[in-house]
Amino acid sequence: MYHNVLDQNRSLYMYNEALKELIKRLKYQRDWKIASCFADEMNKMIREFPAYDLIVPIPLGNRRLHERGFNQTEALLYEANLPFTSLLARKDGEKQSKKSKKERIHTENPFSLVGKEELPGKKILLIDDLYTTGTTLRHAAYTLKNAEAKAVNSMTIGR
Amino acid sequence: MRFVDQSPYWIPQDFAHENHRLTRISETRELPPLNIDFPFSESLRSLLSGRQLLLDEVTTLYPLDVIHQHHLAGFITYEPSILSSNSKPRCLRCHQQDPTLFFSHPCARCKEECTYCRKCINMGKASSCTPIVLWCGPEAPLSLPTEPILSWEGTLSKPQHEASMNLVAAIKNKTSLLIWAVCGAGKTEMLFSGIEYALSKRLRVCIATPRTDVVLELVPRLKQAFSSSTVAGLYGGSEDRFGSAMITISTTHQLYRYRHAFDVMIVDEVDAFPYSMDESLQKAVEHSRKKDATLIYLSATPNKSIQAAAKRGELPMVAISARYHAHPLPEPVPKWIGNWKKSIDRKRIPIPLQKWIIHRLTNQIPILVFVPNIPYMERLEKLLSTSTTAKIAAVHAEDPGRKERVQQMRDNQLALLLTTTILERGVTFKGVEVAVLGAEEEIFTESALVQIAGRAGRNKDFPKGNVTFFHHGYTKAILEAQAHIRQMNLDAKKKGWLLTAKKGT
Ligand SMILES: [Zn+2]
Ligand SMILES: [Zn+2]
Repeated sequence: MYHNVLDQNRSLYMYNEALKELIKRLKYQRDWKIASCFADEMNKMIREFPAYDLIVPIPLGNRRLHERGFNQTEALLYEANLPFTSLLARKDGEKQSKKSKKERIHTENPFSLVGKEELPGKKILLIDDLYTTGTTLRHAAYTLKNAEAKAVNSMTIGR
Repeated sequence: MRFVDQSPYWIPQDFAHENHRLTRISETRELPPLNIDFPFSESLRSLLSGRQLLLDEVTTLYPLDVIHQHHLAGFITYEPSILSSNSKPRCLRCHQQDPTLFFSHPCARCKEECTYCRKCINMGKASSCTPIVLWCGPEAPLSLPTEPILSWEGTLSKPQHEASMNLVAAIKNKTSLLIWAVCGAGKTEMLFSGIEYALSKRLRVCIATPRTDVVLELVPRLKQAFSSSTVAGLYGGSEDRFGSAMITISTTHQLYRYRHAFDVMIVDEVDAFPYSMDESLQKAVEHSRKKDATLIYLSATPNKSIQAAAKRGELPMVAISARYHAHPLPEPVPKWIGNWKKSIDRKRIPIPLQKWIIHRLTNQIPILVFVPNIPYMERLEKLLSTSTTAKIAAVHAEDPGRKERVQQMRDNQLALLLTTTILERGVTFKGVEVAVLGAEEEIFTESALVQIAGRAGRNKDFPKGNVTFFHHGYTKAILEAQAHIRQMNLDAKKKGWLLTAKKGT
């Protein structure tokens, strides 16, 4: 049921050692300033995207958000000066990295809608830091399309 | 984390009522009154005594309510890790206040703009809403190691003995001391008597070094020499970073976690990077020792400012100019090599260097070649490996296989090792001879060249060892390095520390 809910995804970089190190510093050392490294490239790519009405970041669960002190995806948007609307909430799950790839694909949708923004007919650009299996983005896209979003594209830093 | 301010107490938000105003800990307070009947946790005390850990670090090991009970009983106090007075932030953990090393962001924890320190973030994030936890209850008495405290049974050379006596006197009198000891003097053994004396007086000893390699090398040696004492080795990623020990061997970075902990502070290689360039590391050493602690500097190449302090008599000094094996230091031979970069660019090994290398390869002498930068090192490696069948390797700072290759060189599995200045200190290869290519380059400072020359002749069976500086023009550093080494040899000779030539040789 999650097939074809995401219209397209584009990523800034291939996931390589250098990117891995930067993302590690951003997320696990919690060094917010790293987010500013991607500001120019994010803006460049976003200009080439099909038109959209709203940018929506992939949220963190409350526990994770409190541990980290910030949502890295919001930090990326904040540093790139891109206005965004937080329409989604997320249930805290087990650590993604602790699960196998297969398990990750077959998990239930952790997202729900929180924003009061009118969704019907809107074109949404979802933002996340990494595209691994695509499951996270498809779950989010499904939630948005269920509320009658017209189109959902996504952009990530790494893939 | 946010707290309810109930002076002198701070109540963590988890234990606060809903209508209480939450705030960040933004100032250092007078200590809460001590309830001496409180059944405090011994293990928490040994974790926190002499430390300055972030609350985040402590809550990974103890539940918040245990920490809070100790605070209410006056055994634990908090202070901010980031102090922002008149908008100029200062990090109370690493003591830096360079505005470019701070950054702020909206924080989900404190719901405010939150400033954090990027300088010490490798050791956990110090931020406006992350307080430092300090133990303010009675200190744990340091226990006495069982006799014999020192189980080492070797003998000291005359110069080692001289250093050792000076060290014991400095610890007794709580004075500072510079031990200026040449490369290969055998500095670890010089410390033994001083450490033994300190332990017998229940003093806490720290050996701080800029380099992880040194920690890894010293820990087993000290554990063996002081087998009834506790020895902790601290470096980035080390296991026992939270143990309190009689002897602590630590990289200077790890000292950010200590405060007023040590009675005897021995700073090894004060001139080495990054310590020499980094004021906050120097402050970390200052803050981690007790105010009246003995401060010992140990170096083969003390920098100009320390030398000057010694000359002015502000810092007592003892010069250990002879190696433990009582042979003089190999004096480097400068040799003109011309435009070596151009020849390497044209895919030719500079002739003088080639001759020097071939001679040693045919005589099976292990070779260490220092090259000023990685690109030329890699090109030279390629040229050498096409022109000889001998086993060759190269190492540099970012090289993940560095340890392996250094070990191969130690095990005589390599004939030649190319390196950047990363191996200028610490490494010992039996019988090695040393070349510096491009000795005129800026990276080869006087102290770098002295250290590099100090790689040769360290083993008593191979005390000579040729050292050649291949250069494209003399520099002040080359001349000073030569003078430095010659001066040390003269001093050693004058003091009668060198072996006199045997009859018939
Ligand atoms: Zn800091
Ligand atoms: Zn905060």
